[in-house]
Amino acid sequence: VNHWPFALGGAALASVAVLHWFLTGRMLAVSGRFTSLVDRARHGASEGVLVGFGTRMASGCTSGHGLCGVSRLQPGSLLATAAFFGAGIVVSFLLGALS
Amino acid sequence: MKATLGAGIVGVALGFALSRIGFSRWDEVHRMFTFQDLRLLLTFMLAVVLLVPTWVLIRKLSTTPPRWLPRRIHPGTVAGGVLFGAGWALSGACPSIGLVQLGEGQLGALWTLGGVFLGNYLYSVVHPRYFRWTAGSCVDD
Repeated sequence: VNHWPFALGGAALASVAVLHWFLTGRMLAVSGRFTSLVDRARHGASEGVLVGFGTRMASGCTSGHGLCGVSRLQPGSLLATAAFFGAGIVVSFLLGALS
Repeated sequence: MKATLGAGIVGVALGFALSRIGFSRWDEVHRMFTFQDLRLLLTFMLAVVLLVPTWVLIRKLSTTPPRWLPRRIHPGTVAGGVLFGAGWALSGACPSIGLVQLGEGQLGALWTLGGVFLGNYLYSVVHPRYFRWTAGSCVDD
């Protein structure tokens, strides 16, 4: 029986684990990646809902209103851009005060 | 076909520009909103300033007037803008930035993008039921 493939495979796996530690400073544990991704889900999704709901309600976002609407001096775009930049500023300062 | 190819080229250029400017990083966006770093804000304002005469010029030079729909104020303008601004500050992503973040390998953007789709869908359900105004959309533009 040729045992070399086993030795090569084992060495390769071991090297990958050590390389991962050297490059990331963490143990190689892939399921944990899924856990941390899923744990962030509710947070990220609810913030995204605000973005999706708000942009549809205001009929536009940073590109349509902020960039292309403001530069054409469209009243709806000027007001919407003022509203979303204003809210962004307020929420960011609140976030800073809370943390 | 030409439009699809064009959109692809513009998409690559836009994604590259937004990523290099720093719009896809949460802490950069946070520093913009708290005025700790004005770079993003100035970049955005410069783009708007450059576009103002460009649109005027395009309108002047084109033989058939371009069909750019007006963007009027309606009852959803401020409320929607406030919701979007809050979501942008919290998630660090406006709709295009979510795609840029995903392209960069920020996997958390999957949830943001999922939320954007869900929120957009929820509004399409809520609007005809509770609101009377015509909102229009940037897809008409």
